[in-house]
Amino acid sequence: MQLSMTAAETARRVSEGELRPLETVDVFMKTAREREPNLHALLAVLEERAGHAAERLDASLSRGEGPGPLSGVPVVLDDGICVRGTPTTCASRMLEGWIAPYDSAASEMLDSSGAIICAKGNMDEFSIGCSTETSAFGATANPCDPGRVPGGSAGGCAAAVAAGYAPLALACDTGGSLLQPASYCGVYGLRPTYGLVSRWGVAALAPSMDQLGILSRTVEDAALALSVISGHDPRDAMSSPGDRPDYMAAVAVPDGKDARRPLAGRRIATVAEMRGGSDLAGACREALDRTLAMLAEAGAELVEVHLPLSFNHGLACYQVLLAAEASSSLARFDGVRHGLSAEADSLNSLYLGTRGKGFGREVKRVAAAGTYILGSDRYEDCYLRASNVRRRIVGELLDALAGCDLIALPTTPTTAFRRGEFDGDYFGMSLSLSFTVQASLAGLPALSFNAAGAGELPAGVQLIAPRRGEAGLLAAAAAIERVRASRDEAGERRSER
Amino acid sequence: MRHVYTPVIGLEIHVQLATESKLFCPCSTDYIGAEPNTNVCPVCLGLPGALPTLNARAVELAVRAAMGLSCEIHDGTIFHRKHYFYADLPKAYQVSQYDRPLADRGELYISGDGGSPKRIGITRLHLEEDAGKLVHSAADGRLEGARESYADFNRGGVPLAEIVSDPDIGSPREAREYVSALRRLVRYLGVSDGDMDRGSMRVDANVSVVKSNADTGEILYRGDRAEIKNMNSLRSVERALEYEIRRQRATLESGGTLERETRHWNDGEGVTTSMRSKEAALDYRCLPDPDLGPIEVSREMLDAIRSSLPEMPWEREARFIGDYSLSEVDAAVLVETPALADYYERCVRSGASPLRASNWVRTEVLRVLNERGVGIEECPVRPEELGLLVSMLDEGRASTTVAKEIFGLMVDRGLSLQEATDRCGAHGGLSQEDLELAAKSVLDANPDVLAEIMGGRDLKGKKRKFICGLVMKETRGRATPGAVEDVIARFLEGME
Amino acid sequence: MALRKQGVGAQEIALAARIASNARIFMDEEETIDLAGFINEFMGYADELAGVAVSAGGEPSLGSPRARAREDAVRRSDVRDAVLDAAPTRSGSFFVVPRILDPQGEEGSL
Repeated sequence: MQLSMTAAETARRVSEGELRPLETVDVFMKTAREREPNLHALLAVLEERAGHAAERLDASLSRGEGPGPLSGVPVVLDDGICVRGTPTTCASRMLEGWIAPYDSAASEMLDSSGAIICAKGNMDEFSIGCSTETSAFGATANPCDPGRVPGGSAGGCAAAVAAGYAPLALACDTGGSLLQPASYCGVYGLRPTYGLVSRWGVAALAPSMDQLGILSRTVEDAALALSVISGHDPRDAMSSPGDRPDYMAAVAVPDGKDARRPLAGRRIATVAEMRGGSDLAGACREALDRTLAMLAEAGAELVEVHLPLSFNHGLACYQVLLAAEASSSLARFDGVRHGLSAEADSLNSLYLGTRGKGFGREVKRVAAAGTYILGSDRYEDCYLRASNVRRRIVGELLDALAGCDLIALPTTPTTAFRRGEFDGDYFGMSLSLSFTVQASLAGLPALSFNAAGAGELPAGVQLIAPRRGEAGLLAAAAAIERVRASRDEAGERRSER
Repeated sequence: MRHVYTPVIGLEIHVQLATESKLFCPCSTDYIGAEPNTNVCPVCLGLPGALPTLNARAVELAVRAAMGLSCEIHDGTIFHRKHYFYADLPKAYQVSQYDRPLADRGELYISGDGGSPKRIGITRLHLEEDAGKLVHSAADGRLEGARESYADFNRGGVPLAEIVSDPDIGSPREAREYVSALRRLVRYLGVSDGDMDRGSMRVDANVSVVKSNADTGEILYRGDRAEIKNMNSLRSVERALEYEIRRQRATLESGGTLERETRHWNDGEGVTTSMRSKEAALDYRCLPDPDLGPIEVSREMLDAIRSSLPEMPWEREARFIGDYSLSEVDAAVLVETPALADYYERCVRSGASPLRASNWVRTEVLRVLNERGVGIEECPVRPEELGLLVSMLDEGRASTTVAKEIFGLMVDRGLSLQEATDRCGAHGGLSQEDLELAAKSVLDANPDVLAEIMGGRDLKGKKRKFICGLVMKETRGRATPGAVEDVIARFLEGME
Repeated sequence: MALRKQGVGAQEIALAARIASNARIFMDEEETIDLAGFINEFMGYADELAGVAVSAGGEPSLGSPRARAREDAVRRSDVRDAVLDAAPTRSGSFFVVPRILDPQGEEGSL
C-alpha cells in the first residue's frame, strides 16, 4: 500500500479482500511515527481503538457482511470532535486529559461506514487562530515547507492528509478554519452547507457558522466522505432534513457528448472586487487565472459578480460575531465538571483561576472581547449591528448566486506564511480569512483545491455554491481535476519525447 | 398635609411545566428525591459539543397557559442565552427569552380588595430552562464548617414558563389572590401541578410605594422598586409583601429614600434583607441562541390547542353559581382544582341535591383528604357513591348521623355504599319497635307539652317539632326525621 | 509577547481589567495591557460596521433554517458515571465547588 492511496481505492481493496483493515492501520501508524517528530500534526494517536476497529471490520468482512463505503479507510478527526473514550482537548490546557464520554455524530457515522478513526489532529486552541500555533501542545509544521504554518485552525488535519498519514480528515470550519489550511497544505477542503452535516459532538466556537467539513487528497474522496457524513440528525436543531443527492454521481466521469465539456451551460462568476486588489499575492492570482482557464476549457461560461459589502466588510462582521459567540461557547469551561480546575477558596476565584490558567492568550483575548460587546451598553452598536450587516451580506451573496451557478475566487490572499510571522498579531493573521468568511456568514458550501503551479507552494482556489449546491461544487472540481490530469499527461508525453 | 402610601406590586412567577423530559434534552424532569446527577446528559451538563433540541410539549403547555391568560401569542419568537457564571448553571448561560417572548399582553381576573373582580394585566409569558440545585451543607448535613458546596444538575434544564404581571396588584391580599388564581389556572390547563412547596411555582415580587397628598391625590414621590425573592407559599407571599410595604413606608416617613434593589424574604424571622443593589445589578449579556431556531407556533397548532382547552376555572365557577345555586364562596372552594370540581359534579350527576352535595364535599370529603394528606384523586369514596348517599339524605331515607356513619365505614373500612348501609342496618339499625318505644318515653316524660298539643294550642307546630327533636335525640340521631314524624303522628291520632 | 502599549491609556487598561473580570479570566498586569490594545483594535472592526447602512430595528439574523421541535419522550443518557469520574472534584454523586458563603449574595439562581 502506498501513501498516495485514496479513500475510494482503499475502501474498494479492503472490500474486495485485497487489503486487510489492519494493514491500512499499520501504514497509518508507520507514516505517523516517521513524520510526527517533524510535523506534529496529531494530538493523540488512537492506536488501540483503531486496532480494535480494524479487527472488528476484519471479522465482519470475513462473516460476509456487506462492506461500508469507507471500509478500512484511516481518518483523522480534529481534536474538537468527541470520540467516546478518547482524549478530546480542543488543543487547550483547559481540557487536557479530558476523555469524551460520548460520541459525535461524525464519529458514529464514520464507525458505521467502516472507516477507522486513527488519530486526533492538532488545531488552534478552541479553533481560535489561523496557524495551529495557538495549540497549547505545540505548533504543526506545513508538510510542503516545514518553516511555514499549515494554516488553521484545522492545520493538524490538513497536514496529516497532505503528508499522507490518511486520505481523509474531518474538521470544523467556522470562518475558513478548514478551507484556509486546505489551501496552505495543497489538499481539497470541503465546507458543506450549514445544516447539511450534524454538529453533534463537535465543540462549538461560533455555532451560527460552525460546520463540519472534509479534507482529502482527491475530489472523489471528498464526495465519498460527504455521502457518509451528511444527513439529517435530530440532535442538531440546525441540521436540515431531506434527502442528500448522490455525491458520487457528481464526480463520476461523464460520458457521451458532455465528456469533453462537462461544465457546458454552467455560469461561473469571478468577483469584481478582487480585480486589482493589491492584497492578493501573485501566486494566488495566478492560481485563480489558471483555474478560470480550466473551467472555461471544461465548457463553463465565465461571468462577473459584484460583492462590495461581502468583501469590504465581511471580515469585520465576522470578527464581531465570532468573538460574541465564542465568548458564549467558552463560558462553560469553569472548572466544575471537567478538565482543568484551579485551587480556589471561592466560586469567583475558581472561575478566574481556572480560566486564567486554562486558556491561552488568543482564547482569553477573544473571549474577553466577546464578553465586552455582549454587554448591554455595547450590544446594539456591535453585536446587533454586525448581525444586521450579516443579513445584508447573506442577501448580497444569494442575489449573486441567483445569477450564476458558482463563484470562483482564491481561497486565501497569500500562500502559507512563515511560522511566527504573526506572533500575537491576531488581526494581522486573520486577514488570511479575508475570502473565506463570506461563505461562513451565509452558510454556503465552498470547496477549495490546490491550483498552484508545479513546484510552487500550494495556493488554493475555492468555489462557492448556493445552499445545498455541493453536487455542483464537486462536479466542477472533478472537471478541473480531469483537465489538469489530461494536461499533466500531455506534459509527460511531451517530456518523454 | 396628610400623606397616603399606595403599594404598587407586580409578580414574576416561574411555573414548572408538566413535561416528561427537559426543555432541551431527553432527560427526565422527575428530580424530586432522585439520586443527584442521575437525570443528566451531555446537553444539560454543558459538555463540549452538546446541542439543545426544543421539547414540543413544553411549547404547547406554554401556549396553553398563554391562552388561559388571553395573551397574544407570537410565532417565530426566539431564544436568548442569558449569561452569568454560577455553580448551578453548567453552560454559564441560561437559555431563556429576552426581547421577543412567546406571548404577551394578557390578563387574569382576581377578586379585588374592593370586592369586585379586578383585572391584572399580564406583561409577558416566556419559556426558559431551570438551573441546577446547590446544596450548601457538608456531606454529613452540617452547615457549620463546610468548606464546599455541592452541585446537582437533575433540575437543570427543566422547562419553566415565566409569567410576569403588570404592576396592577394593589395589596398583599391581592397578590395572594393573583398567585392563587394563577395556580388554579395552570392546574386546570394541565400546564403544571402548581405546587409551591415542591417549587413547581416560584414567586418573585416587585414592590414599590407611591407617596401622595391625601387631599389632592397629587403624587409626591415614587419609590424605586425592590424585588423580593424566596417566597415559598401563599402565606409567605402575603407576609413578605406586608413586611416590605411597611418597611418602605417607614423609610419614606422617616425621610429616607428607596433604591432599586433585590431583597430576600426570611420566612423564619419574617423580614426581607438586601441581597444586592442596583449598582451590582447583573448584565446578562444576552445573545440570540445560535443553536436553536425560532419557536414555531403555527395557526394549525394554535387551533388544535384552543379546541383542546378545558372549561376555565372562572367559567366553571360561574356555572356552579348559576346552575347549582351555590354561594360564591362555596363555588370557589369546589373549583379550586379541576379534579375536585369533577368530583362534585359526578356526585350531583348521580342524583344528589347540589347544595347538600356541596356541603358534603367541602366538609366531609375535604376533611378526610386533609387528614390523610392526599388529593381528591385518592379519595376512598367514589363520587357516584357519595351522590347516592347524599340522595338518601335528600329523600329522608337516612338521618345525617347515620349517613355520616355510613360514610365513615366507607372511608375507614373501604366498604362500598351497599356494604356500609347493610352494616348500619335499615334506618341505622333502628327497628319500628325501638322507635315507638322512644316516642312513647318522650311523650310520657313531657305530659305538659303533650297537653298543649292535644289542646290545640300548638298553632305553629312548634311543640310538635320539639317533641320530634326529643325523639331524634332519644334515638341518638339514628331515626330519620320522616320516620319520627310518622310515629308521633300515629301516637297523637291514637290519643284523640 | 508583542505588547501594544502604544496608544493604551490608563482608562483603557481599567476597562480591560473590568472586561477580564466579567469574563472571569484572571489576567496579570501585562496581559491586561495587552488586552486593552486588543480591545482597541477589535473595536476598530466594530466601528467599521457603523458606516454600513442597515435596515433599522432589524432583528438579529441567525442565518439558520427553522428548527424542528422534539417529541416529549424521556431517554436516559449513560454519560453520568464517566462525567462524575472525570470531574475535578466530586463528593458522592455531587460535583463540588468552593463553599458559597452567602448563597443569596452572589450572582444568582433563578
